[in-house]
Amino acid sequence: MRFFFVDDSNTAIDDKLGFFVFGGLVVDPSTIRDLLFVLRSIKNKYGIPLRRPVKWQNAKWQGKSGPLDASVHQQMKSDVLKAVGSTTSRIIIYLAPHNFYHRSIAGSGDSKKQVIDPQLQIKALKFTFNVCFQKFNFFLGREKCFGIVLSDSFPDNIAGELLTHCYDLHVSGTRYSYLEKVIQPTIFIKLELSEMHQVNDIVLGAIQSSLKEISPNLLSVIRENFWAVNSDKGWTPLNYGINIYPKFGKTDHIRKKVELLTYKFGHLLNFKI
Amino acid sequence: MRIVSSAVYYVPDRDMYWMRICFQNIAQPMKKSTVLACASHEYLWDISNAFDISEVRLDQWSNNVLKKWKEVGESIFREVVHYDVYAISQDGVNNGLKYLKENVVPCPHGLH
Repeated sequence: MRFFFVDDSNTAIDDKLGFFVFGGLVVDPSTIRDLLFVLRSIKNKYGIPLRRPVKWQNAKWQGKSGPLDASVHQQMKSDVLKAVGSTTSRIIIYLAPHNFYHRSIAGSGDSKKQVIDPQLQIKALKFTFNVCFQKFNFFLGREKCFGIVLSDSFPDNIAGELLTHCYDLHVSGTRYSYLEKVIQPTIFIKLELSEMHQVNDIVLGAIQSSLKEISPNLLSVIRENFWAVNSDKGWTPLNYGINIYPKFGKTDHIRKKVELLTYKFGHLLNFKI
Repeated sequence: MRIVSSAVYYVPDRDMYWMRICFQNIAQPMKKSTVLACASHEYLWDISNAFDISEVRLDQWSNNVLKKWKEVGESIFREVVHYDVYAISQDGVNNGLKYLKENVVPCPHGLH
């Protein structure tokens, strides 16, 4: 049995990465206790309440997650990543441009600003779910086991439609209903109630920050955790653990960004493109 | 003015390149200044549109940096160290500047 913990990261529009990250850890239940022990030890060490996630930049949690400064945050990330790296957990993630989530609205004067559009967000997440859950199903088939997806909860204004979509993936005769290894529709849990989601959140945050320009590479310690296969180019997680969309961008800007992200992953994880 | 320019060094952990240029006033040898410059892979890739950064591209970048700071002239000696970061995002600029300040000695040998 495998649990696939999923969440999204970097959905706020910025000029830093330009892409959001979705997905997370595929975990054998027997390894969860050790991972949670590490997380709790870290929280105790730095005085963070057990129910609070380890967040640095999210405004919702700033000031509530305890006395974090940048070096403490970095150390915590490093400790959790080392713990993940010592397990057989696998990572499956999906990346897509921010404009899958956002649209422009008029700002002051001639300026425009980007806001999350709930309808675009729902559409983006449905596509994301389809890709990630299919990859997970494929993974389960190769591992000859069953699995279940546990997702961080989404805002109320989109949660209902996403839940319906998850049911459609499993129950009705849609073209995505061949998730034969995923035993039931996705379960949604609030981050603060699920410590494994908090571990997952740290992993996604580390992936996101490592992709940024001139940032330290945090991913070498979890390289082997990215779900990968051996191809004629050698070991590659591309299109297995790492899925970058769109495959065929409509604009040069997007195509270039996808190429750059692909290169960055190749460099960070040392595999040939 | 005496100018000593280093090779371009690659930092694989950060996927960036950096170089050092030392300036010294010949008539007044006590007047010295160092330029520490870095460029991200994203920056070099963005302007060359090539997946891999060639030696030719790196030479072009380092020559452009050298030319830029030569043109500053005597006023370069107003600061002991100048930082010059080439990046395509503010995060890249901040990370590059931080890296140079924390990890690169201004001028360990030669002029200084």
